[in-house]
Amino acid sequence: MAAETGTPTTLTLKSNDDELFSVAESAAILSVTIRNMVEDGCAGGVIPLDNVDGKTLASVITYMNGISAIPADEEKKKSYRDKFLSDKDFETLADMVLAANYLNMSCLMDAVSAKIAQVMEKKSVGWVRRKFGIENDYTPEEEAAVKEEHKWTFEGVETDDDN
Amino acid sequence: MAGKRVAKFQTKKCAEIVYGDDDRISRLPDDILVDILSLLSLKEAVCTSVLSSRWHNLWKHIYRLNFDPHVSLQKGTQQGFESCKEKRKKKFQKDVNRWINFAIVRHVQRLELDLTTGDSSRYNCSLPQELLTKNTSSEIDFKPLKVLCLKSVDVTEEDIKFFQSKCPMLEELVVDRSLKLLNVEVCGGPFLVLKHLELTRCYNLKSVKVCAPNLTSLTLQKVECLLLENVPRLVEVSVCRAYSKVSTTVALSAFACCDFQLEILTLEMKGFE
Repeated sequence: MAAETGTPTTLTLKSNDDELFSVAESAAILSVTIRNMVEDGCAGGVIPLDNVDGKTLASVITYMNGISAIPADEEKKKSYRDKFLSDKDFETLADMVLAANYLNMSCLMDAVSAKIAQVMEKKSVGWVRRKFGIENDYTPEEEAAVKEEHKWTFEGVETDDDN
Repeated sequence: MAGKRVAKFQTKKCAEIVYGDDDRISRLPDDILVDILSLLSLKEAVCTSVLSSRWHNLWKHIYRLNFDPHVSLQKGTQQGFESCKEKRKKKFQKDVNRWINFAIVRHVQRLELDLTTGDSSRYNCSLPQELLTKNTSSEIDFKPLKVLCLKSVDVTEEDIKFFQSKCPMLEELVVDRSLKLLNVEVCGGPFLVLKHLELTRCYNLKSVKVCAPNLTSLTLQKVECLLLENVPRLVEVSVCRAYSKVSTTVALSAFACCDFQLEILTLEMKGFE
């Protein structure tokens, strides 16, 4: 925890591509992974985060600082999260959810998952495949069989010629 | 603002090479994908099975059944539902057990459990039997419970008896949509503090016997046999969907033969012939 001197403790985080970031401990401990390190007293030097690249880490730290600056007001936090994620493309969202998972930050994880789910909602199969870069490895027969199996789910969904 | 970058050692070209355009979502592990699918409606989650072979069975692991009330739940839903029903049901039942346990060990006074999901309310859960039979266990204490409201939960006659004997402070009991409720008996002496009893949409309900000196309000629906005894404080009675002649006559005669000061009597006669 922060020392009583008034100067907040700062941690140094290192991404897997060797970028260094300094961040206030009070914000960084939103990550349970980092908090455990701090509590175990192994956060003195540089904290290496092997599964997060610099670009994503910068973004996560922006989030940490932003959300921890908001007092306990769930509404405001939610609107901050919405705003924070609103301009992120899917690639970034996927990076973020992986980072949030690794850092054990449930609030960010839930928010990003919800955002990705929101992107998927009411979209055709072809659109989702293209947007998310999913390679269709079904043969046409297999695909038809899967569609037949769950025929009801495709009612009212626009069909589009995919790939 | 982003954390101050202390130093920058190299650019991140490698990251872009590793994650090519073709596997944007595929690099997410299954459990994260399941998290995401669990946020979609059931229909949309099932729909993802056609994306690729990896997605074929992913949706079956979703832990939230999110029905879209605007989509009519016809045969198709039943079908989709059946596919994951057993597994989900187990998981879901586990969640329900956990919730109830959680609430009870924290000595809640008001426990409301509403498992109604749009039109597809056939997916009821039972009350955790291990909790209900573990009546000697000291840490499970139902005593503080004052209000118990169970909707779309398969409450049985035995469960009601159990709560009656274990919850001396119970003032309000609401059961809605339990298909397992056949005969209900709520009887007790002056120490039975129950004030409100509501049994609605329990379509298999045959008979109700109430003997509760502190009862002030009673709400019932479609009752075939009603017996009221020792209800001196009962002032408000409501029988919804009293459309069967049997229900109405039974209800009226039951109320008539009771010597009490009824102030409000509501009979919903929709469809009465």
